[in-house]
Amino acid sequence: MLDILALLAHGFGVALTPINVMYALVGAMMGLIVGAMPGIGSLAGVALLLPLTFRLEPTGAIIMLAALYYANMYGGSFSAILLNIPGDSPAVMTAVDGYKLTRAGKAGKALFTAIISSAIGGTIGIAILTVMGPLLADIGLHFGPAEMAAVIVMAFTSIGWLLGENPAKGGLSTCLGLMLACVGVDLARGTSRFSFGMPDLMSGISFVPLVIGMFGFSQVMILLKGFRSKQADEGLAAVPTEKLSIRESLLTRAEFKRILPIVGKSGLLGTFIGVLPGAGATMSAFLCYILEKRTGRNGAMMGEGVIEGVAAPEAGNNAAAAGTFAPLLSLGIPGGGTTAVLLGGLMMWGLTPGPLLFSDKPEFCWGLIASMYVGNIICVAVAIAIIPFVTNILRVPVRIIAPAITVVCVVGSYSVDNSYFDVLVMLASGLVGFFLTQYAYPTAPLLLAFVLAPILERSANSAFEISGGSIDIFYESPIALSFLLIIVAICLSPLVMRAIRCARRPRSVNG
Amino acid sequence: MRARAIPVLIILMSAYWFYEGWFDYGVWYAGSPGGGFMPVFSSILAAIFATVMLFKPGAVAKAVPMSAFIPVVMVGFALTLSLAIGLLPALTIMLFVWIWRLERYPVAKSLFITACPMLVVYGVFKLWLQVPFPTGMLFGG
Repeated sequence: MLDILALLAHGFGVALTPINVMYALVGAMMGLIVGAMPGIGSLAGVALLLPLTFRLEPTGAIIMLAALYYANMYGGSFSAILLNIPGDSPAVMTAVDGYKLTRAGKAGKALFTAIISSAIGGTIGIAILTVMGPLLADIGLHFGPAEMAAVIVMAFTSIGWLLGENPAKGGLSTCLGLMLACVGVDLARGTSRFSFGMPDLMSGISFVPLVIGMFGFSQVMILLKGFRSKQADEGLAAVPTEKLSIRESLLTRAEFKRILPIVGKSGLLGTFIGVLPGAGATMSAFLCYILEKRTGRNGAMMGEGVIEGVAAPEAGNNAAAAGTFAPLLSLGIPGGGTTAVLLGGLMMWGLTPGPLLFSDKPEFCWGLIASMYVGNIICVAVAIAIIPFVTNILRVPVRIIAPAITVVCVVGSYSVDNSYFDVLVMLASGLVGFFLTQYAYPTAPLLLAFVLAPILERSANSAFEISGGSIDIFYESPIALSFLLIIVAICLSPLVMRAIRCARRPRSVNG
Repeated sequence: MRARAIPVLIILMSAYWFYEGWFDYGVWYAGSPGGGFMPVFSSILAAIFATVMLFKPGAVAKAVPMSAFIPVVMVGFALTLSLAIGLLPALTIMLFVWIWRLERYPVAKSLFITACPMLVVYGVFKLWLQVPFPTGMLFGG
């Protein structure tokens, strides 16, 4: 424990350098703005910001992107509370009570509750990450190629199975990601696969244009589909016109006492949900809300417009956002779409997330963790400071946001390799992302598979080389075997759930 | 029918991936996976999931309004124009035309709205990151 504290203190030395504080501040401000604008979300925000970080050193770059990610959780609640339109999916549950508080003239209280709950929940998540990260990394040191391949397949299965309405759609999206990742150099023989004679495809599909297209450009198309012209103006008319005051938004001591235990409970639960691949901030917010509604003192009032209904999901989603960093840093396994983009970024900066990262690059890992504490404080300060102006941010119409994001998508994808081909990749992946979303195929599993496929291929190749081509290596290792059993359990879970539902359904009169 | 388009396309794609992986790259090579192992493995799984979706496509999505494709058309226009005048001027014109003609803002307001993001883009990408944007045939690029 003392070691961890010493390393964390060293991390604060890195995080508190003026330049890194500035990166955290920029990330926090952008995350709040992106989060507050309905329909953009953290994934698109991180994707669009990725090209800007190429010239930064990796620690500063990841500090900025991480700040954007968790600040997005704060920002997402703004439009949920004021407009009943969640800025991002983790804020869906916040809208239930938050908007009712706004209609009751308590918008400021709801926003302040969301900010304070996010801050405390996030800090709980970061504190657990501080302890759990190195422990997970120690466990990860026992992983050989077979265990690594098994844990990656487990991540694919859980994310593919858990995201979206239909496991087959998640599975299909994962496989599409794997197939796209096959384009480029073949690790076994060093030849180029599926390049169709195009020199630009010899080294594979570029990660950044793919991400910008799939999550930024497709989001613009979705925005224009749903928020066009008059509809957008009608949505903006719902923004409260009166300026909110910070003083009137502050919570009383009694109100603070009401939410504190809820925030603590949701922070703990949210962190552990965040660690699980595929679960993420949205599921965390949902489960924390349900838990509080079923077990809380004011649970029966939730849904009618009470601050508990804002505190529980907000603490849960911010804690989960911190929790997702534990498997990312210590095992190299991202828990969802946004962390998959961060993983891709880390690889581009020459870092290999995994068990050795904590020992090989301690200044990076601990600098990032310490920056999350600092960034959380910055987020609270910025979020409270912009309360009076938040209605102005929400009033920026989609008709202006969409063209501006389109320009950033083109310039961002071009700037990766100064290549028009990358802009075309961005356009193509934008169209693919749009149609997948249109037909309710989750796109996060595709991204995760695309990022992790090279590691899976390398691990599987090494495992087979060690075993002389025998598959036994995957079930002779207890760790790999336990991951395989979890994969089987996840795959069977829809059938089990269906069987349970059938058993619970009351029998018909005739039956 | 439209809901089945994605599974059909993926089945076709996975057939090609399988063929290339099996016959061109080789699934197994000297006691370990060859270059075709991953394409064959992923294409078989994709074909299975796509077949499931073919018979159980789920809810049919509503028709996509043409407005969703405005960004694609506008980027195509900007890329074509950029060959003549360079990327940043082409994007500036694209943004102005979009806001002025399609979103029907007044000219002065459209110019102001165009200038704001383009100044940020110019400052960040051209001045700070020093990205060498193409200047186009007219400006000697």
